[in-house]
Amino acid sequence: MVRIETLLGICIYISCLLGVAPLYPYLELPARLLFPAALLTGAILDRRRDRHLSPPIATVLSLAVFALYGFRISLSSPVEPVVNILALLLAIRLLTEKTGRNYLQIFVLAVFALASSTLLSISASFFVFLTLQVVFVTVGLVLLSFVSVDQSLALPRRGLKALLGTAMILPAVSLVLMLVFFVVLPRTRHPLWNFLNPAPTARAGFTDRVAPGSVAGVVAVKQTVYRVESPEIDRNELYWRGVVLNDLEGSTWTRGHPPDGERARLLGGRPVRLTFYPKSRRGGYLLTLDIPRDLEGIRARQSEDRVFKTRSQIDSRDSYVVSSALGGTLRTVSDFNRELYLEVPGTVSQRVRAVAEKMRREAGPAAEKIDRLEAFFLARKLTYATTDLPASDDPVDEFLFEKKKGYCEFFASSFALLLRLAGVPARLVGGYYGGEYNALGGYYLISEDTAHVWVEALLEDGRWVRIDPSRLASNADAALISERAPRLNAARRILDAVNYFWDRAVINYDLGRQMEFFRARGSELGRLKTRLSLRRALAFLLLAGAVIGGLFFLAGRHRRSSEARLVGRFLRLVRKKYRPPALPPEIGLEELAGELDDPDCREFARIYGRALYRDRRLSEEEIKRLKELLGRLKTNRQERPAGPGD
Amino acid sequence: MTLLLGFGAVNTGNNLLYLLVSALLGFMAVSGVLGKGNIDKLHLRVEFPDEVFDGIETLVRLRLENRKRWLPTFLVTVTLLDQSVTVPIIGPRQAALESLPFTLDGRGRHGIDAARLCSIFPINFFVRCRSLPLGAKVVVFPAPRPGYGDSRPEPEGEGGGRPSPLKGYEGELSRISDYRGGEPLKLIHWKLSARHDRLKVKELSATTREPVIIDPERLPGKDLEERLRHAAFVATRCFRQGRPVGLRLGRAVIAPAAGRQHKIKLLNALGLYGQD
Repeated sequence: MVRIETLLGICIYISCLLGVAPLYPYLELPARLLFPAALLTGAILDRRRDRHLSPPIATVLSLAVFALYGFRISLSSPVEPVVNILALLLAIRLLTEKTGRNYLQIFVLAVFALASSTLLSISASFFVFLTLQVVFVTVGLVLLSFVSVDQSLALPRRGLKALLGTAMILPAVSLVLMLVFFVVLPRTRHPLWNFLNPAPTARAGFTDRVAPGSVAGVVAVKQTVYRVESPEIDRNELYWRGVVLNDLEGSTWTRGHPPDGERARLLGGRPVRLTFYPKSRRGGYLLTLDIPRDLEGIRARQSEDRVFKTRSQIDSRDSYVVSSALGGTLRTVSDFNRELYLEVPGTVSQRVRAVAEKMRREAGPAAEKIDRLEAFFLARKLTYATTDLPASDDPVDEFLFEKKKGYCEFFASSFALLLRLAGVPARLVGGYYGGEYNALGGYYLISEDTAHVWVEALLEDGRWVRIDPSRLASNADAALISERAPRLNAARRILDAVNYFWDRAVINYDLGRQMEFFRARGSELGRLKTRLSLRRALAFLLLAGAVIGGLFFLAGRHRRSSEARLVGRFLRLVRKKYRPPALPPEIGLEELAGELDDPDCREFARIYGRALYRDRRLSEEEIKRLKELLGRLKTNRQERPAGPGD
Repeated sequence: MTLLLGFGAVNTGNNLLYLLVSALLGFMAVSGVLGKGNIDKLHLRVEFPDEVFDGIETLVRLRLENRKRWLPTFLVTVTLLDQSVTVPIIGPRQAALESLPFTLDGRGRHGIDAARLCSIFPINFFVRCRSLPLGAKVVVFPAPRPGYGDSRPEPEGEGGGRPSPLKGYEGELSRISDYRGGEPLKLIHWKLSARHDRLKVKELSATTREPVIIDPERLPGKDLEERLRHAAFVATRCFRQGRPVGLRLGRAVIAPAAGRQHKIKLLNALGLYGQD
C-alpha cells in the first residue's frame, strides 16, 4: 500500500523547485540561502512528522517578509522584491505542518513564482519548467482531493497506477489545450493598466564610440545579439551595419550629425530581404545588412549615411524587416561640405603624418591613395590580436610602428585617419561581421564577439566604398575570417534553433500575428470549401469512419477471449428470446439454463461449464458446437414457448 | 488565480504569462470534463438485509458498479437515507461493495427512490453531484418489544428440549453464513468478514420446542401496533428457541413451522398487517 500523502509531498516539493528554479538567479542572498534550506528541512520534518513551524510563528515570519520587501516595491523595480517575497513565503510554508489548505497555498505560490519568472527572463527553458509544473501541480491537486477526504488514505499499487494514469490525463490534455488557448486568447496593443508595468531600464551594450588604446585587451563574449532570418549569403558580404562614426577627436571616433545637404542614393546590388530579431537592447541603433535600402516593422529614423535609429525601446519581442542591396553602391547626389569627413586631430604623430603626406604627394585620385595605403598596411605586417594591445596616448602610432598588432578598431581607425590625412574623406562603420548560418532554422546567428569596425571612403565621383583594413592583417585568414566561421556543434545548433523557434512562435506572438493567423486559417477554410467536392468529402468521411470503427472492433475483440465472446452472445440471445425480467449479475450459466428449460441452453451451459470447471480453454470442437447452438438459438428466436401470458 | 494571471498577461503582453494562463484554462476545462465523466455510467444496487425492523439500526449493502470501459471512478460519496459512504476507487467495469448503517421508522412497505452520488474528483474545488434512481423497496417489520409477562425467564428444557438441525442463538457453532440483517451484532464473525469482504455471521445450533401459534389480537397491548410489536418479539424469541411458530391474523392462519424462510414470512405478515 502506498500513502497518497507521501506522493502529494513529492509533488509539492518538485513543484516548489520548478517554481523557484527560474527565479533563483534573481533572488537576493537571504532567499537564495533560505529557500533550499527550507526545502530540505521541510522534507525531513514531514518525514518525521514533528517539530514543524507553529502557525503563529509562521504568520509573524510571513508578515516580516512582507514588511522587509513590500516597502521596496516601486514603479522602477516592482518585480525583484516580489520574487523574493514569493520565494521566502514558500520557504516558510514548507516548514509548517501540511494540511489541505497549506498544500493548496504551496501550489498557488509555486505557480505564482513561475509566473513572476516570466517578468525577468524569457528563455525557452521556461517551456520546460512550465510543462513539468503543469504535470506536478495538476497531479498534486488530484492527490490533494484524496488527502482532503482521508489524510491517511493508502492505495494498493494497482489502484495507485489507475489513479496516476487517470490523473495524467489532466496535464496531457491541459498542455494540448494550452496551445489552442495561447493562439486564441485576446491580446491588446496597449496595456490595460499601464502604470503596473515596469519602466524600461537602460542596459549596457553597443556603443557609438570607438576609442582604440583605451584598454589593453578585449574579451570576446559569445552572447547572441541578433538572429536574422535570411537566405544564405556569401561570407564576404556579411557586413552588418549598425552605426557610422564620422567625428574624430583625439583618438576617439564618435557619431556626429551627418553634414547638412548630404544626399545619397543606393545604386545597383542584389536585393535581399531579411527579418531581424534583436536578442538584447541595442541603444536605439538598428542593425541592417550593408547596404540597407529601407527598414520596416519598427518606427525608426533613417540618416543619409544609412543608419537607422529608433526612439522606442527594443527588446527581444521586437522584429523588423530590412531590404538591402548586396554589392550595391552608396553614391552622394548632392554637393555638401566634406570637411567633417576630413577632420583630423592635432595630436597625430610625425611618423603617421609623414606616411600620409607621402601618399598625398605621390598618389593621384582617392582610389589610388586607398591602394597605396593598403599596400602600406600589408608591408607593415600588422597582426590581428585582442591581447597586449597598444595602450598609449597615440594608439595609432604605436599600432603602426611599435606593437604592430591590434583588433579591428585599430586597423579601421588608423586606416581612416591616414585616409583623412591624405585628403580622402573617410568614416568608420560599426556593426558586426560574419555570423553563423543555421540551416535548420534558416537564419544567421550574430553574437557579440563578431562585433566589427570597418572604413568607408568617399571617392571623387561621390561613391562611398567599403574597405575592411582588418583583412590586411598578416593573420587575417586565421584570426578574423576563420574566427568568425561556424563553430557551433550540431547539438548547440539544434538548441539554438529551438531558441529561435521559441522566440518566433511564442515570444514574438502578438495581436498582429494573431490576426494574421486567423486571416490565414479563414482563407484556407475558404479554399477548402471551394476545392473539396461533396463526393470526395463523403468518401473521406466514410473511409475515416470505417478505419476508426475497424480499430474499435479489433480493440474490442482483442480484449475479450473467445469464451467470453461466446458467453456474451449467448446471454444476448437469451435476453432477446426469453426476455427474462432481469438477469442478476451473479447468476451462473447452468442455473440460468435450468430456469429456461431449453435443451440448447442446457447443452451450451454444460459444454461451457465442463471447460470452466477444469480450468481449461474450449477445444475447437467445443467452440464449433457452441456456435451451432447459438445459431439455433438465433434462428428459433421467434418460436417463443407459450407462457401463461400468451 | 487564473483571472489574476490573465489580467497580468493581457496587461504586460507577456506571452509566457499567456502560456501559463492558457495552461490553467486548459486545466480547468479538462478537469470539468473529467469530473463529469467520473460520476457518469455508475450503477447502484441496494441490497437490504432480510430482516429490517422498525426503528432498529441495521446495515444496507451497496453495490456501486462502474460501467465505464476505460476509466476508473474515484472518490464517489453515496448518500442514502441521510447516511453516506465514500468509495475511493472503482476500476473500469468493476464494482465496489459497501455497507451503510440505516434506520427505517414505521412498519410496512418502504421505498427508496433515489440515491445521491457526489464527487470532488479531480480537484477539491467543486463538488459534482447527480441523483441515481433506485426504486428499491423493503418491508419493515414491527420492532420486537416484550409485553406483559415476557420478562419471565424461559425455563430451561421446557417442552422437551432436544437437538435440532435448525440454527439457534445459544448452542454450539454449527456453520458460518452471510449476514442478513437480523442477526445480533455479537454473532458477526469480524475476522472472516474482513477476509471475505462481506459480513459473515456465526450460526449456532438450537434445540426444538413445542409449536406455538401467535395471535396478535389476543396478546396484551394498548393498540394494534403495540400488539404487533409484542407478537414480533414472541415470534423472534420462539424462533430463537427453535420452536415452530404459526400466526393467526384475523381469519388467516399461517401454520406453525420452523426455519428462516418461515420466520421472514411471519414477520412480513406482521409488517404488512392492516396495510394492504
